[in-house]
Parts: sequence; structure tokens; C-alpha cells
Amino acid sequence: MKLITHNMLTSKGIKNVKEGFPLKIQADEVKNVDIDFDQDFISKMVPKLDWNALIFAAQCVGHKEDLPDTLPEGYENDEDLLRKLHHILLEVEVINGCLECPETQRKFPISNGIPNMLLNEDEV
Amino acid sequence: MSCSQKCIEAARKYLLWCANEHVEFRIPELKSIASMFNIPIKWIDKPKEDPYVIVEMMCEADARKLMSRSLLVRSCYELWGEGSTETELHSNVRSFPAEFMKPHLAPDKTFKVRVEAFNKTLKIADKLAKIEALEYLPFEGHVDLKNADTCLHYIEYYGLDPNSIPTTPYKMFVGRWVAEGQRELIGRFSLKTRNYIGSTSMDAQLAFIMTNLAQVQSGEVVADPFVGTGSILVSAAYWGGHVWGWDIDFLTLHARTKPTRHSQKKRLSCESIASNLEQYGLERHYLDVTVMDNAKPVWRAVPFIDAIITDPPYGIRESTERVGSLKVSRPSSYNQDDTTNTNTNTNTNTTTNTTTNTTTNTTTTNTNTTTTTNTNTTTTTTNTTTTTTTTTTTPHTTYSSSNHYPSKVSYSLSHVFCDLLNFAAIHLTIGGRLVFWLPVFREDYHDGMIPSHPCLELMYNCEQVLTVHSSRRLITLRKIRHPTGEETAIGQVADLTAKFRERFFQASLMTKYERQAIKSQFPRDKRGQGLGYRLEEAKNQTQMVRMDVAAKCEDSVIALCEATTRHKEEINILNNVNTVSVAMCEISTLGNDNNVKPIETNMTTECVTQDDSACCRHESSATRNNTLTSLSTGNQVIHKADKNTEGELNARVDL
Repeated sequence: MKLITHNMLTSKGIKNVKEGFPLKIQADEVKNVDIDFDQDFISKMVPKLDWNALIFAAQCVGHKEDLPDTLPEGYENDEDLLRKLHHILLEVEVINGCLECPETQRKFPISNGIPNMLLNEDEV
Repeated sequence: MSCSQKCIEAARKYLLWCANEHVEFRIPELKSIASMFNIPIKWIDKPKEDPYVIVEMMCEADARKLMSRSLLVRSCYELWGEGSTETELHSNVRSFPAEFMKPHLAPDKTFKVRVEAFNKTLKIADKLAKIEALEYLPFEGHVDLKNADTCLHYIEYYGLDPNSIPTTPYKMFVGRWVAEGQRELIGRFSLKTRNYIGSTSMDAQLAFIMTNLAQVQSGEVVADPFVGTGSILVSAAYWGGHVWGWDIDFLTLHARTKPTRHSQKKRLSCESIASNLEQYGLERHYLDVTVMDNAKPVWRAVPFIDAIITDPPYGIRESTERVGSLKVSRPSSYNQDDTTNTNTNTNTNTTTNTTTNTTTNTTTTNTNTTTTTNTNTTTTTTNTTTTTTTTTTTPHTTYSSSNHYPSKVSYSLSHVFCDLLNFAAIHLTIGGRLVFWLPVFREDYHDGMIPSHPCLELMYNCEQVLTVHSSRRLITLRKIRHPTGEETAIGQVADLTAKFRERFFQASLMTKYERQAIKSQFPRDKRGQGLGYRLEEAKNQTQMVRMDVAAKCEDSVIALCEATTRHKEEINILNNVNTVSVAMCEISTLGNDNNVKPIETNMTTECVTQDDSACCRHESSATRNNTLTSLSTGNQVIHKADKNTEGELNARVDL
């Protein structure tokens, strides 16, 4: 699971959960992969992201590095920042571990890089 | 530079020579590509069936852009002339402005001329003669048959019917070759060489057409909520989309299902959705796949997806299911569903999908699924009228850290589409498109069956015929605005779609003649509806008349078949009573694909009394319509409709 996916996932489907966001990442195995930098895509994607959740996710997997705490203005032209974002969003992959609901502590397992967001029949 | 120069020039006509398949998708695909690239197009000739389209565009760069995406156009030519006769063609070519021709036939340009014929093989000598006839063109360069700068094509069109090829073509064109379409992608991305496939992987060509209708462009986010083996993601990624996919089936996403390839016994470790993208060097476009229930998607409610392209399961080859159980209460929107088809299955039955997957015969599939429903251990009532069967995919425990696997209940097609539309209304960006297949039973289909949502506007609706009785329609919707508070969950879906599965399996039990009767209701499927046929009809009035007769007779065959089913019960009763007499009518049926065959109808009435076995025979000639009327007015019951090998229909009638 890439952190870009984490940024979009919630546990709102669980009964009585209001936000369910951001999910906490417990990473047992993290892999770094090499992916070509696509500046257009990253700069198009940034406004759709929740910045705080991204920083939180980066901390969870130990890749906070020097990402700024708030999204700086003029990021579209800051290639250095966009490259960093590219790395954290697309190149850091959680292979095994789980995602945890911030409200109910329900755990969603991640195996083989694929998160399992299915709820049990008594949770829907 | 050269483009801007050309743009100043007047608009020119381009001949788009199309593939002779997926005819309904042709114009929507072209329109979609043109609007994606903002190419102004003027439609000059848009025949319904014939494999060409003539359009007017401002410059050649536009034509090339159009071709850079089109799957259904083979080649694009700058049209220099067209005609129905050779004289007309050549006078048309002569009137093509010389200043448009000259740059391509200049002394420094090599050239070649190719003669092609659609639906006919021409002799070399004939081809040469046709090339010679173009000698009036201002050729100044040299001939180069291998790498010519200018390729002129002389195309003759001999209609669509290979069984009646006319001596002279219906249409002739002369044009300069500009660009090829993207047909080569069909072979390059063929499922035959795809790393990971399943029973319902989308054919490469259709997947590319879907991505064209969805206008996928570089840097966009594309999602497939019923991702399966990721066949649609591959096409979307090829055009530069970044792809997300999700599916309820854990085993499919982890590539642990039974292999569907004929020779393959075990899934290989290298098989996965991600590997499908790697196979074509598209891994940088892969975002993630997740195991997720479409009835409960867990994505943040922000518009972040540019295109949703998907093929939901119809409940035929892949089951439609969502998480749920009888034991707990569920949201009110599913109450109706609960009462009819909530069979909780705790079987460790993983074979349902795979057995149905590998069967191509739908009748067998039916039997399989039925037996599976009967083996439910905690089944409350197996309602025979439910539209989908209930299955549980219980993965092997080693694939996940969790020990519990949620039970799944059937998810009616209506709910599938309703959830899909509501999801699209929330998560698509403005102008983003939702492209999906809607399975329909053809007889039941009407435009009201297309799911709708106030925030989504219908763009295209194209039919792909699957069997004689069912088809699927590729629906393209475009998001026009964001939903307001209450609008997030008001997708409108006709209830009829829910009946698809039931109707499909009922139909698989139809006799051959019932099938033919249905087929005749949809004459558009038949080949030969093209220009060739239209011209032939006009030439020959008698054939037109015969077609009318044919239509009437086909009606009567339908009526006959309807009667067969209606009187089934009465027949059973009659079987026990002494049969007094039998009337037999012989109807010579139509040729399968050809309406213009002469119709001969004979009626033979045969009376048999049981005691003295005396026979009396009446023979008369009548049109089929009359035959049937006389049979039904005589208060007779059709006993049995069977066939003999000559394709004749014998209907036995008990008095």
C-alpha cells in the first residue's frame, strides 16, 4: 500500500464511526520502490490530499524526513518539494502491517501490499 | 510550424476507414476523442453500417491526434475524390484543388499508389488498370514501393455481404494516406499474452474503447471499483492514467483463484494485477488495489477521481455479493433485499466462482450455481425467484492475519448500479466520466433502464450483443456538478436490471426456434444492412416486397413459439386424452441471415382417427400468417414444435 492510498482511506463504514480518518499505520514491512517522477501528476494530486494525514502517515512509517508541517504556497513550481512528495506518496510501500481506525481501534490487515478494508457482517 | 501553416488552409475532408466490428461504438468513440482534444469535426457522411466515415477537419494535425487514440478506425486518408461510378470518381478527383495535391506529388517526393477492395479480391491486372487511370494526376516524383513519402490509396467498397458481391463497387474513393489508428494495440495487449487473467477479464479492444469514452489522459486518476484482474487498469494506464482498483474478492486481488487458462494448473507467484502493468512497462501508473465492499466504500468523500471505468459482475460468470448477514439488522435501504434473498452461507465453498468461470455453456453454469445454493448450511429459505445466488468466498487462512472472514450476501444488480452512481456523484471531479456495462435482457430493454443521477449526464449508450436474448450496454455518464447534501444517495435504477440473471438462465433453456424468433426481432444484428443492401433494395422492388412478407412470417413464428409455451399445461392434459387428429403445418423457415430469400409456404393438414386409422390430407398454400390464423381459430392447441435438419419448422396441432 502506498501512502497516497492511505490518504484517501477512512474507516467510516464501521457503525457509529464519524470521521475514521486518518487511519493509523502499523507497518511491519516497508519497501522502497523506484518509480519515475511525474511532476504533472503530483502537482495535480497535491490539492486533493489531506496534508496533515500525509505527515501523520509519513511519521508512522518513519519517513517524515524534512517534509514541512504545512503545505507551502507555490508548491507547483517547487520541484524539490514535489520530488519529495513523489517519493513519500508513491515510492514508500507498506507490504505487511495494518491500518487502525482512530475511533474504534479496529484493525484492517495489509498483506502482500494489499489492504483488506472489508468489514465484518456485524460492523456494517 | 507546418501545422500552423496547414491550419490556415481550408478545412479538408478525411476518409476514416473503420474496422467492421463494434459498429455501435464507432461514432461515440470518435466524438469522445474529438471532444477530449477539442478537435472541431464536421460530419460529412456517417453511414450506419458501412465501414467508413467521412469528416471535415481543419488540419492534418487534428486528424493525426484523432488517430492517435482511435481503436475502431483502421486508417485515415485525406479524401481526394469519391464516387459511385468511375467517371464520377475521376471527375471528383480532377476537381480536387491542385494546390492541395502538388506538395505531395512534387519532384522531391517519392510516391506509390495502392488499390484496395473491401469485400472483393481484385486481380493484379485490374489493379494496374485502376492505377493507370490516375495518370492525369500531376505526378512529378519517383515511384518508391517501400518507403514512399506519399501513399495514394484507391479504395473500392463492395458492400458487406460476402455472399452477393456486386460486379461493380458501390463506392470508390481516392485518398492520400495520413495515419493509422491504434488497432495494433489489440494484438499487443491481447489477453492471450496477459500475465494475470481471470474468467471475466476485459478484452483489450473493448477496454481501450472504454478508456476512450472515459477520455483518460495523462496524469489523471482512474478507478475501477470491480477491478478483478485489472484488465481495464492496463488500458487506462497505457493512456497515462494513474490507476486505483478495488474488489470484494480477496482471492482475485491476491491472484489465488483457480487459473482460467486452459493449460494452467496453478497460479504462479508472479501473477498479480501489478504484474499486468509491469508487463507493459506501466508500473509507474499503478497506485494500489484494495479489498473493499462496493456497498460500503471507505474512500474519503472528496472528488479526487477523474474517470471511473468498470465492468460490474452480472451474477452470471462472477457472483454479485456484498458483506452482510441475516443475523444483524442492516440499513433501511436494503430492507427489501433482505426479505427476498438473504441466504447466509458459511460453507467453505470457494468453488462456485471457479466452476462457473470455466464453463462456457450457460446451461451448465445454471446447474452449478443452483446446486451451490442448495448446499447452504444456514439457509433460511432458498427463494427460487431471487436474482442472484449467495456464495461465500472463504480464503485460506494463511493469506491474512485475521481469522474471521465476513459472510457475504447477494447484492442485486439494481443496488450495484445505484451504489456505483452514488459513488461516482461524490468522488468524480466535474467533467469526470463514469463508464460501465449494463447487462440487459434485450426484449425487456427500454431507455428507462439506464441508471441516472441528477449530477450525472448521459453521454453515450452503445449496445454489444452477447447472445440472441441478452446484450450489454456500455453507458457513459459525465458528472456535471457536485451533489448537494441529500443528493449523494439518489441514484435512480430501474428495478428491471435485477431480473437479468433470472431471465438469462430461463433463456438458456430456450429451443433453437425460440431463439430464432427472438433473433428476428432484432434485424439490426444481421450483416448486410449496409449501403450495399440499401442500394440493392432500391434497384429491385420485388425484393422489397419479399422482405415485407418475410417480416410478417417472422412474426408468425414468434407467435407460434409464444403459443408453445402458453399451452404447455394444456398439452400435458391432452397427452392423456385420445388424440383424434393431428394437423400438421410445415413452414419453411427463413434463411438465417438473409431477408431477401423468396418465401414459400405450404400447409398440410392431416387428420388421423384412432379407430380406423384413415387419413385424409388437405394441402393448401398460404402465407405463414394465414396458416397460423387458421390454426388458432380452429381452437387447436399446438402440441409440439420441433425441427428437422433442413431448417424447417413442424408444428403439430392437436384438435
